[in-house]
Amino acid sequence: METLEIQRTVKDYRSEVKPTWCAGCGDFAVLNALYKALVTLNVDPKDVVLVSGIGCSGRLPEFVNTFGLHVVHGRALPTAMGVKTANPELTVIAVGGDGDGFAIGGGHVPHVVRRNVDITYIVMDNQVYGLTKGQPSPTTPSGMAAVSASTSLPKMAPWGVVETPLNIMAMVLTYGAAFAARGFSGKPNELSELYVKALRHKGFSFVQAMSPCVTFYDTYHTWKEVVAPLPATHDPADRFAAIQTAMTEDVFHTGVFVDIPRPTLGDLTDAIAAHTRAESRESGIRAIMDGMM
Amino acid sequence: MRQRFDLTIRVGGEGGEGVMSAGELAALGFARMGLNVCTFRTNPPEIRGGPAMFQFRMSNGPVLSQGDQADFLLCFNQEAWDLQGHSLRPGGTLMYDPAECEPPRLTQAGRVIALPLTKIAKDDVGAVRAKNVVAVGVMGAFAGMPEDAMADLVRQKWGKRKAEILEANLKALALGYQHVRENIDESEAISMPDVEAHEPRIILSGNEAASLGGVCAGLSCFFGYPITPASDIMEWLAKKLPAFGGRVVQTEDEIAAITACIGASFGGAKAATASSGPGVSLMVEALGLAGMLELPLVVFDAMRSGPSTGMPTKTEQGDLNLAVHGAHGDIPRIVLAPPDVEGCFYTAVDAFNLAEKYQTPVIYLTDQTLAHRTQTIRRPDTDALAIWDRKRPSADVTDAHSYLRYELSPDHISPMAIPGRDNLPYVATGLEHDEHAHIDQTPAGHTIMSDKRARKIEAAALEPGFTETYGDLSAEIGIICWGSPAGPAREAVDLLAGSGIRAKLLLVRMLWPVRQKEILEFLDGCQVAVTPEMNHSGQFAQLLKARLYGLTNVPIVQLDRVTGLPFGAQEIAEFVAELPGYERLTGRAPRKRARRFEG
Repeated sequence: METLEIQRTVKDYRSEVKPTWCAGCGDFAVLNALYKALVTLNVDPKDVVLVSGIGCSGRLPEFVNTFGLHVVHGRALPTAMGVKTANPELTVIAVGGDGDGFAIGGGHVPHVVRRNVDITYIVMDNQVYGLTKGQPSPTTPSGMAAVSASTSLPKMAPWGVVETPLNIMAMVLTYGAAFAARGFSGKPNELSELYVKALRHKGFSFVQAMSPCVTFYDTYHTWKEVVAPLPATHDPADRFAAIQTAMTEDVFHTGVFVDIPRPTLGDLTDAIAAHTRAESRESGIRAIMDGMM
Repeated sequence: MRQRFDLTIRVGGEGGEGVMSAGELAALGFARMGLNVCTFRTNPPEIRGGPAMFQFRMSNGPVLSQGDQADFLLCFNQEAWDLQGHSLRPGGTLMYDPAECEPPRLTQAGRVIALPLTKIAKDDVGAVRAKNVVAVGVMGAFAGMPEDAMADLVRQKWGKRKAEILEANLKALALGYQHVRENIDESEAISMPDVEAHEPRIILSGNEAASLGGVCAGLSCFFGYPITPASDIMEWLAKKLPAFGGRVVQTEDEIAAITACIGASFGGAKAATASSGPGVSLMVEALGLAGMLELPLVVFDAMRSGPSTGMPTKTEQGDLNLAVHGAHGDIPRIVLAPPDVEGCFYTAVDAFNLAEKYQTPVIYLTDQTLAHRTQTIRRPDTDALAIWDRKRPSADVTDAHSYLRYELSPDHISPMAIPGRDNLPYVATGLEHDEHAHIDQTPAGHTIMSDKRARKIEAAALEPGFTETYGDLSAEIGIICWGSPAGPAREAVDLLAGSGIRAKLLLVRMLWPVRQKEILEFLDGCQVAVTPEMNHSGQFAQLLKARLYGLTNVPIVQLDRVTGLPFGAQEIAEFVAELPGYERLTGRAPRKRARRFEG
């Protein structure tokens, strides 16, 4: 018998906790876009787990009326993998900032990608450490330009940022992400559509949400000038073209870079389980012990 | 009374020569004959080359340790003799391969037998690699093991390999038997005891027993990163867990492993990881998170010699401080340590049960010798095991607003909602929180929640069955043990009784929270307590001194050592025998003794 599905609204996904972010923070748009995406998918809040690490963005699960798991710095991805492994029926979304995901947590990204764990990873990239008040992050542009545009970067980088920034989109594409997209918090509708696509994609999906920090590195105006949709000719099945675009772009392209489905970790382990399954717990344990004598 | 049969055989050779598989095969054969068997091995850190040693002890009575000295020593090469020669009991039997080894004429050996293993393997089998199976044949023949039974074992081990390999090994085995028949006088063979009827047994390693215990307790998600000597837990589970609908993922590091456990536990699964000191060190931050979120999970720590990379294939009990104290801030946790392979099974069941009941990480400490030792144990009656699950919200809690994930209940344990199953969404956060799981950074909030988490665990110290005594309980000398030294310590109590010294033993299987009540009861009437530990500072002794301060006057005398090798019963007995009359009054370390390094 088919159960009658109710249509949920943003109210069903918004928690009572008011966001603690600075007024004008890009993360508000990221959050609102997420509410909207959840409404579109109409998923039961009890079946959703939002996992986050540490940083301004790490507070996001508090503001959403689903299950949430706010863990240590940099470990949202392996934690999210654990949730999904325990219960593949759940919709699992990891969220975090560029520092959480690509500095302290950078070692986890390629591995969750290569396992193709069926989760969605939203990185709120503001190119700065916000919660610790304005140190350069792995995506802060090098040189003096970023420093002079910021109220706080000079504390840590008085002579400019000397490291070269990571190109996280190119990284994720070369790791082999099955789905990768980029949006901008200045374009919340598009961002929400990208979330819906990412969440509907079966397998690992990555969304880079460009989300400016108005307090420590306010890039709103500059980013507005350099955001452009991916060319209409871009084919999300063409990984090489996507990598080339990511590595040569002088604007921030938004849209779906790749969408190349392949079997997930869960699919593959389930297939293994299917032909080793014991008749019952008891018989399985008995068989193991019989083999020990 | 039936005669006690107790025999120890040691085999020494080079890593890659098949010393371990020969030893395992022979030990399994003797176990199948109905003997109790306990094995002990030291691997070189290299995969090929370096000295390897395998020892097995068998008896028609209980076998609690690896055996002090070898009755039979089989040397594959000169280095084996040089390194292992000392372990031969005076009057014991030395066997050596004359192609590879020339022991001195004058040794403590009662009998010296040249065994042309290399020659037989090379000339008659046609594969020098088969010399270890020739050796198995020799051992089987010596001990009167039916040749058919040994051939069955060989078929079992190599039956799935290429036919030539199986054939070569069967031939090697037969030639080993033949050599003994033709060259060794029957009167020189070991006379095996008649084995009486006994309850069903199984033979398995400590790591296998821990894994099997986990399966029986309902483990369904395992995440791990390879490390000696814990990897075989992950490997075993990778093979077995899918049959039970469980999942095993090899992660990119130990931090990923434990945080994945945290995710899985939040998702409702019984989750575990396994590692050794270096990996558990990396897990410490997340261990604090698990404590803060009040999530059940189990960390198996097969301890190896530290600090740092230390001696990866050697044993030590050096992670107790890490297990008990490793954290920033105060977090709840339970630390358990099994004494032997049977204990590895039941302690694993306990670990999952306690993790669930107290919603806390449980750290399970074994050590390299126990993890890799194989031992015969009574076949567990798994139907009789009690399996516990975490407290969940009662059915009448349907409103997420009134659901208290961290409810301040009388037993300090709160109901845990599971995503997908309970319509009670909440956010578990490592930030300090209130009963609703909402962030609360107030002075009162942090104090109340710190109390809750600490007091929750106090009750675990009263869970029954985590200590055991042995010996004459009116004795004035007490030995307090944890982990694998318990076996040799128990045998030491018997040795001491034989020479008129009364001693008693307390085996502690739960190290945190400290079993204060039982330890004080045990110390009552003692003049001195000895703590044999395989670490340099006496980590358990230090914990006892701190927790029992002002509650007892009994001096604790530490017997600490870090040779990378397990204790022998004789060694503990000698240490205790030297105590009375001096240390019992001062509590100071006993008079200087020559340090012994051989194993």
